[in-house]
Amino acid sequence: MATTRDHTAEHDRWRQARNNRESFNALYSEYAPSMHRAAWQVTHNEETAWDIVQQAFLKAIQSEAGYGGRGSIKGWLIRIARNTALDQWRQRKRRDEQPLGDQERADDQGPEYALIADEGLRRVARAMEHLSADEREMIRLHVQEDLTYQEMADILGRKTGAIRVAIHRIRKKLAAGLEEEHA
Amino acid sequence: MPETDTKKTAYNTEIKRYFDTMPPHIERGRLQAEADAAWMSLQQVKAEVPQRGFAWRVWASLGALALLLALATLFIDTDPPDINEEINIESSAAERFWASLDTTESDDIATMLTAWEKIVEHPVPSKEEWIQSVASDWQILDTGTLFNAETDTL
Repeated sequence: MATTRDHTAEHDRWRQARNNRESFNALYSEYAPSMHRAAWQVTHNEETAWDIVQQAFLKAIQSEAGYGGRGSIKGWLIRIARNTALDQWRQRKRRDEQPLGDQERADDQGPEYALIADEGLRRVARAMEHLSADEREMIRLHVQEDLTYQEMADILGRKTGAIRVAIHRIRKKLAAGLEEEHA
Repeated sequence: MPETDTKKTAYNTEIKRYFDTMPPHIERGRLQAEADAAWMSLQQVKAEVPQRGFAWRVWASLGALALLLALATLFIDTDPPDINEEINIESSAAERFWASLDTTESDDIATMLTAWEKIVEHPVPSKEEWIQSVASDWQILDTGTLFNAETDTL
């Protein structure tokens, strides 16, 4: 997994996308799924997550100084989507409304592996049960979104070293769970 | 590749496959529809920004014009000298005026006007206006008498 990347080309693409529909579409198709997944992890609601992606993407593309080419566009966009989702969640909580996705979460308590036909995936799902929600999100960002420790640290508001240690522990937990399954 | 690395890669592949299987599942059609909607919103926002900029410029110009007019009113005074204002500014002039009248012991308008003009060092622009102003100002009309239009005296 790469730890440093050249972001100059990404920066150029981002600037072009503001005025070119084709570039915009390409960027949106590439990054919106990651943003949606990040928002969904907070909301557990498909439609609310799409609303958040729209808001976050527009917020990002209008921001002149926002993406300074420092990290990857992907990491930056995921961070905006996640923060937007968390802001909405906090606002709803403050207004004593049912926070985003609470109902869906309540329905989601049962073991998800029961629905998985693939035996290999069922084993992973059972191992995942040993992880907290934060740990699951951390390993998801690392493995599914292919983010670097630095990008994850920016998104989760933690130090890079802490992320590295956490990922190491999560891997050990998962490995233990998977080997238990094998045995 | 050492055994631990092979295991790690295998685990990674399985974990990734697991997350890819889990919700949310994004359909291609939905993604395109969302991209179109986002592009339209962006165009709307971009169209609103220049309008807002234009409105801001119009209001700024109007504000600047109002400020200029206000300043012009302060510096370019086209009205004749305001006698009331003159009396207020020349507060000690009123005292000197009455003192000068005391010596002449006269109450006719012509004498009073002449005395006033000497005090303020310029001619009174309108006798009627001056009388009205004087009559309404008890600081000067402290004799308690009324102006008699027929005899032209106070």
